[in-house]
Amino acid sequence: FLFPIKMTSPRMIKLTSNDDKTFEVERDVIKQSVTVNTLITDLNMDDEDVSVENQMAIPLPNVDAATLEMVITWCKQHREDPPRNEEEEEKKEKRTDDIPEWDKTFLDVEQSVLFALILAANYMDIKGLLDNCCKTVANMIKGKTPDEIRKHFNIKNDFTPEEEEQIRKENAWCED
Amino acid sequence: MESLDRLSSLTITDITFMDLSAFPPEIFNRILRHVEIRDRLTLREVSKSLDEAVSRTDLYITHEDKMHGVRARVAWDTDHSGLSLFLGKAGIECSKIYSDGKAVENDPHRLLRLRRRLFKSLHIHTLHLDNIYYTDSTVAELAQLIDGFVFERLSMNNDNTTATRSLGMLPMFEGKILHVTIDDEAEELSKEVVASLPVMTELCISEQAATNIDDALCLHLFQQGHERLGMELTPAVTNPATILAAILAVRDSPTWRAISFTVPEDFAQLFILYIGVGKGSGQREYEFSIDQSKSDIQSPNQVTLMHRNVLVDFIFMAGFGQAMIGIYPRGVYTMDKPWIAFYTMREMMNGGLN
Repeated sequence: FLFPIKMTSPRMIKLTSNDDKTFEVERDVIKQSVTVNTLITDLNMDDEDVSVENQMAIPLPNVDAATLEMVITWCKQHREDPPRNEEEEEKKEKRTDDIPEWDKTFLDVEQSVLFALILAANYMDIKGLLDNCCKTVANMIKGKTPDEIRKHFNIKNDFTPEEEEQIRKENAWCED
Repeated sequence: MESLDRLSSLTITDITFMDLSAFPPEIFNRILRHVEIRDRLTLREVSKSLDEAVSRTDLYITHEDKMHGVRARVAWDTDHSGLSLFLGKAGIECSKIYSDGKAVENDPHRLLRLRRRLFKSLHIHTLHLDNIYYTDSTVAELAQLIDGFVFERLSMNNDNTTATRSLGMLPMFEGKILHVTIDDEAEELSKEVVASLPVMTELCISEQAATNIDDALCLHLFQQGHERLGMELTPAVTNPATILAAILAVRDSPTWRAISFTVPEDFAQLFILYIGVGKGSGQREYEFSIDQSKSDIQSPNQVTLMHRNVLVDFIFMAGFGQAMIGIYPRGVYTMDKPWIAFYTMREMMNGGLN
């Protein structure tokens, strides 16, 4: 027996960046953003009667278009991920060698881009993206000397020699 | 990966580098949760802004192996059903340790084992007991926890509700350097209770407690053989005359050799003044530390200054409703203008006065 299958297009949501660019994204994709998800629910935007053309765009005043595009790309890639259990995540041993390969490549960007992405992930409350971004930054820090960190992040040493010595003294307790 | 290629050609911003210290604290915190303690300390050495940023973060420990060899001050606080770790002299990190999750907390035996494992990986220099409600089970649990561990000193807060009960704990800590803080709620602390404390090398009295303890009691304390007096001062209750009275009460004690102050940072200048109080002959040590947690100014640096050979003497006169301090040989200053004395003293320390 063959039953007619009703083909329905996926439900779309409109998001507007702070530089006024609007993106249409599948509802199922953007559900990973707790901020957006909450807005959709609170504003009853899941009402199927409203077409995407007539739908109000959700403004994201803290995210620029380029960053938002990256966020959406990440969300598309991770749309099948199981929902995160934050309590479980808290219990897990903190490690930075478990970033998925796709994310490693995706996050291999200029520092300023990664910076913007972290702020966006935080604002949009996308824990998975935020976590992997933070791990990426943590990997940039780990095992480096103060000079190497300065070089990597282009930081000027603004300590006087006396202040530097003082900090070293305070940190001496950690030496083996 | 198509979209990735396309994205890589985007120019998002003209900032090339990431300013780590510009992250909101909760994000920086999240980043630092993934680095080792050594890395956190390294960050402090990078720049002032990073030093400050690190100082504002919490330390999360989820795996005790990472703590191996770390010097720590461990605080046992029954109010919060957990252990706190204070790592390093600067107090840069502090965290509640709940082992590895809530499930463990429901299993006291496993929790105890995990805590002991954690202890093993640490070099505990101070065990600090805070807000302990000394029930039989608390005592038993604590005894189990610390059994077999060597720590250099024990510090405890005594308040009016726990002073007497905490004294019952002291035999457990025989042989340790004992640092007792008599805190702000010590109004019921009687001479008898204090007298029953064993001879300690350090005694710390909060200012409010100092107000409640009369001069005679202070003197009594130091006649017991305490070598070091510490005072924690708080902006809300600071009364210079009280502090001076307490100091003067003990300064003639034959045993004390050091006096230390923990003051809020914004009081730092004011209390530089007090380090000169005493005999002033250089025979005593004056230790001055700033407690940033009690200050509105959040600075990462806890400064400890040791001043020896302070060539000043203070004359304290009371009874006229106003305390007066004289700095020899520069004259007499009233306490309502302590900054004059401070600046004079600073000059003196810097060799500006002959």
